[in-house]
Amino acid sequence: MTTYIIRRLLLMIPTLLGMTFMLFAVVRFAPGLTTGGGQFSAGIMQSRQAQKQEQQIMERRLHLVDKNGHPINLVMQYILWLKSTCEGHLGTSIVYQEPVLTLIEQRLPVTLTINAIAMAVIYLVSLPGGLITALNQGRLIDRGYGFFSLALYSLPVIWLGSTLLGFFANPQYFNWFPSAGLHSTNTGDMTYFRYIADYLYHIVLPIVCSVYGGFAFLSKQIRGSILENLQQDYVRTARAKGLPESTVLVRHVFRNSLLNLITLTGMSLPGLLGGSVIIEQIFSINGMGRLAYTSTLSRDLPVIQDLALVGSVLTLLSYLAVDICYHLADPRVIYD
Amino acid sequence: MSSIELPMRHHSPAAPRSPLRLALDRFLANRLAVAGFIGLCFFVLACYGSLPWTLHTFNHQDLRQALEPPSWQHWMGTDTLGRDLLSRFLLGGAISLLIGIFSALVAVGIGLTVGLVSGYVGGRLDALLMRGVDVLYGLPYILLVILLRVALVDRISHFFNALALPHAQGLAGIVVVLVGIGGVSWLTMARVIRSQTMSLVNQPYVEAARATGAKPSRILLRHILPNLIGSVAVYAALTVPNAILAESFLSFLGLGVQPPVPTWGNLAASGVEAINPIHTQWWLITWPCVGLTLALLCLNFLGDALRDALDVRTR
Repeated sequence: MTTYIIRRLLLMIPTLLGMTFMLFAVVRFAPGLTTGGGQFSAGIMQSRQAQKQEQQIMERRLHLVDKNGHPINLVMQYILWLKSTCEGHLGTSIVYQEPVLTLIEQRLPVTLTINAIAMAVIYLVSLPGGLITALNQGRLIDRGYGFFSLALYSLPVIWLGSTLLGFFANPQYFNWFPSAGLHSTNTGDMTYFRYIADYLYHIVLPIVCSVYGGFAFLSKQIRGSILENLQQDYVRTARAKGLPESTVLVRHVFRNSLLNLITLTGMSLPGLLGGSVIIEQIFSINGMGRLAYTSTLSRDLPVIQDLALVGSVLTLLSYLAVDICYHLADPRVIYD
Repeated sequence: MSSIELPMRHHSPAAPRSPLRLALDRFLANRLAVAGFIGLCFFVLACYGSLPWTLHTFNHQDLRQALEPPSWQHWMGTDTLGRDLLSRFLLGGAISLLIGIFSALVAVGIGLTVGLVSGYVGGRLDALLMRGVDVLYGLPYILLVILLRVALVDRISHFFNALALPHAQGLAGIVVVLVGIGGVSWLTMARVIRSQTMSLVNQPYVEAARATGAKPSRILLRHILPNLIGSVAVYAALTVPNAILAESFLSFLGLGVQPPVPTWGNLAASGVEAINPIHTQWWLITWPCVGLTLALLCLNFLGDALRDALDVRTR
């Protein structure tokens, strides 16, 4: 197993190189490269000379030109970027004039909280949902659940999000929730629990929006794998030897059905950090999704590159984690 | 009163029923799917049947009638520029459905080819293609669409201008969105087709075909492809609503098809902008979103039923 993991980790390197180089090339070929000073620090006040100087420093920092001001070709640029990344230097944002790591540190907590709570709620509903619908296959409850989860899945989040905002965060109708922001103004004199509660209260609507579309797919998958397992020989054996139905369901069927969930869960792990651009845009949350989106729009090269790097490393690691968990959960699965 | 009446059958039980017939029966037994199909037919007829009218009126402005609520004259009301929302809604529906269907076709075309080749040939080529898919999975698709739009819109609209097509800029925007969405949707398709092809290649009948000296092209097209039709249909059907949704997201971010050419996505997006605490112009956001939701609902029911009907696993 150890050899397998080491081999997989080594195989990851070429994929990672491919991913980052591809992104590197795509981003640098894009017209409208930002090299001028930051949006906030630069200004009309600066002289032409100073602006030009700043641009030159920026170009050198991005490895676009060498010390003498000659342009460097793409492959060399990539190698230089790779070298400095491997040495542990993540980039510095051009727009925000801050290290990318700091930006991620600022924005990750809120995205992670929203996504983790949303995922927990989705699983808490979908697991029993899938089980109940599978056991009542074809009955009213099965069809009703299927109908409603698909109907929810079909509701566009831009509609529901902006409608929720318009009705429940609006002094004209129900002013129950804040329309933007993550904290109340008086957080200074709150106790720790009060602070957490206030924080959660601010992200209720975004969580609702991330949750409601997720039931359909997961419940359907669980239902399918339970139905498949119910027809297996071992279930007949378990029933034949007189086990109570609940034991058959929970200990045999449900446990084996959870195997399929490993893949699904593993694949959704990188998404936890991604954040939904749309939801963050609607509720004005400065999370990871919005960071990626705005830096793409403003061609903030270091941010795009480093976010993509972090994203692809996490994706590849969770693929590996899925395969390892599969082996741990089902010893029949052996990798050579 | 007779209690031993046998259920009527349309064909004798002795007659062997083809898999297609079985699937069709299962599909028709699903009332939601049939309802979805009928609903979809209704949308297609309404949106495409009204094209001769909507193509002329969708951009007709009358500022004196700006922001009118629904009335007998304008069934869905008018927008900020006094354009009739009904004709924009119908044309927007036609374009949204077009984007959905053609994105799915692009995705099926690329995904099927890559998946088939990768699964059939195997070895180095397979490894290379699948690493390629991994690499593309890593690229954020919004970035891809932005770049496509920057790089291609002008060239395509020049091309359309040369063909003397009206609304060349808008049409170019549609093509870019369509290619962009299709270009990222084929990845899952390729993976699914690849794994299925790999299991089919080891079937005895494929071995038999190879033993009789059939060429790879014949084996792929006559023996493997027909067995993949089910999953292709299911994935294509599920890609259509996702593509329509993706277009609406892109429009919301201002990266989709650009006004004045309407889609349900950009109509909804401009409706969101019209929400403000002073005046609620509900019709601006409600109609396109209702259209979007109903169409997605129909398509999802259809795709779901197709999966149930064609998937042997859950029978």
